[in-house]
Amino acid sequence: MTDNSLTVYSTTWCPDCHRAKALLDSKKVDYREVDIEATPEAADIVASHNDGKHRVPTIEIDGRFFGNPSLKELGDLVAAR
Amino acid sequence: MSHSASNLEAANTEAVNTDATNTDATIERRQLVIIGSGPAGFTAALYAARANLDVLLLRGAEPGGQLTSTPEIENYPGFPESLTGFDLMARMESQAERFGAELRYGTVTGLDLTQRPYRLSVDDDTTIKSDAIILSTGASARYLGLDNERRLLGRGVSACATCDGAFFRDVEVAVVGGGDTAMEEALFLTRFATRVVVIHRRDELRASKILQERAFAHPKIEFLWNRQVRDILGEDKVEALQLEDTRTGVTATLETGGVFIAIGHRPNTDLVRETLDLDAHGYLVTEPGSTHTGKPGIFACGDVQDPIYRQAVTAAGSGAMAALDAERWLAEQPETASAKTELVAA
Repeated sequence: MTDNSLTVYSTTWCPDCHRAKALLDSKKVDYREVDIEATPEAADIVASHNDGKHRVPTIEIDGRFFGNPSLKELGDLVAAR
Repeated sequence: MSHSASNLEAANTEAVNTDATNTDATIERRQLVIIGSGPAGFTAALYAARANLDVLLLRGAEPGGQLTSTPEIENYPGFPESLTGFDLMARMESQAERFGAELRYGTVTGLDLTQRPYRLSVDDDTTIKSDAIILSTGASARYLGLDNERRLLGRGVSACATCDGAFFRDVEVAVVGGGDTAMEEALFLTRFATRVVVIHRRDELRASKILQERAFAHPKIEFLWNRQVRDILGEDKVEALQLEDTRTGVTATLETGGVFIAIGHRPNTDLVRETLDLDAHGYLVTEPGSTHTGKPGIFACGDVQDPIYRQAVTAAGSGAMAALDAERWLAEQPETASAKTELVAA
């Protein structure tokens, strides 16, 4: 089952994006991934939630945005859902 | 508290609670815990698992370690076609896991070495007791230590070109440093930036010859020798650097859209600064020819104890040494034989 309420805004080259996805995979959490370099609208969304910066990964969880959370924060956010 | 810890607690409801500082937490008991998940940590986990030790690896705050920021690894033997740092670390991780090492997310926040078994506090509010510990906490980027550097971090100041480089498309950027990391950062940044200026405080590089030659030959890379960064200027983002000529003392301003700091690394020894021997530069000291620290059952490998080589392959090699040393040491401790994954409440 796909859960569209968790989105990882990423780029192909960012190490923290790999780490965030690996953590979500290890916890068997479904997520949607959007490459902000391939999707200009997504880059705008990311910038609007990060003081104009293209911060990756930006994670959208149930409508809330988190700019490059630590793995501890991400784990806690997912566990709290 | 995590679900697994709750389950452990449920399984140990009859155990006697004797520890006032851990009234809620259940203490997990292990034979060997490895702290850190770079090449040293994963190789130690691989060797320890193959020695049939009960081994738990805690990945730490940056799983995969510094190597995950390296876009292309060309000098790890066995991979002639080169691969990304992330791919190499993913391979090491799955190899350790294949032989039974338990790998877990979590960062150690406290380490009590005053009594045995040693005690580790983890950021998921669990506590682990372990007979032996391998420290493979690695190193982190060193910064210049300027106030404006801290203020503008993430706003044009970075210590990781692969993390942030692509945000500097079509602008001029600067790299500070003269070692391998500085050359790798500069070469990577040429993919995006219009010009890369390498600022180095001496008049020659410390970097390996092959990287030097590549950097010298690259049309986008220029060098400013004998310059030190005195300040980083800019309101909301980096706009310029104030540079001092180390020979004349004359300062000048260099306009730039970003600055990448690559002036070396600082070993991650916060956990043991007070309890283990460090050298003058903060690296963990091990007994010559081994990975033993001064404390029984505590071993160190990888960049946290290596001020000289700091290569993926040497880190991996010392990880193997640490696991072999730990295996031998544990075999000499008769009371630990029955400790295998025994769980006791605090």
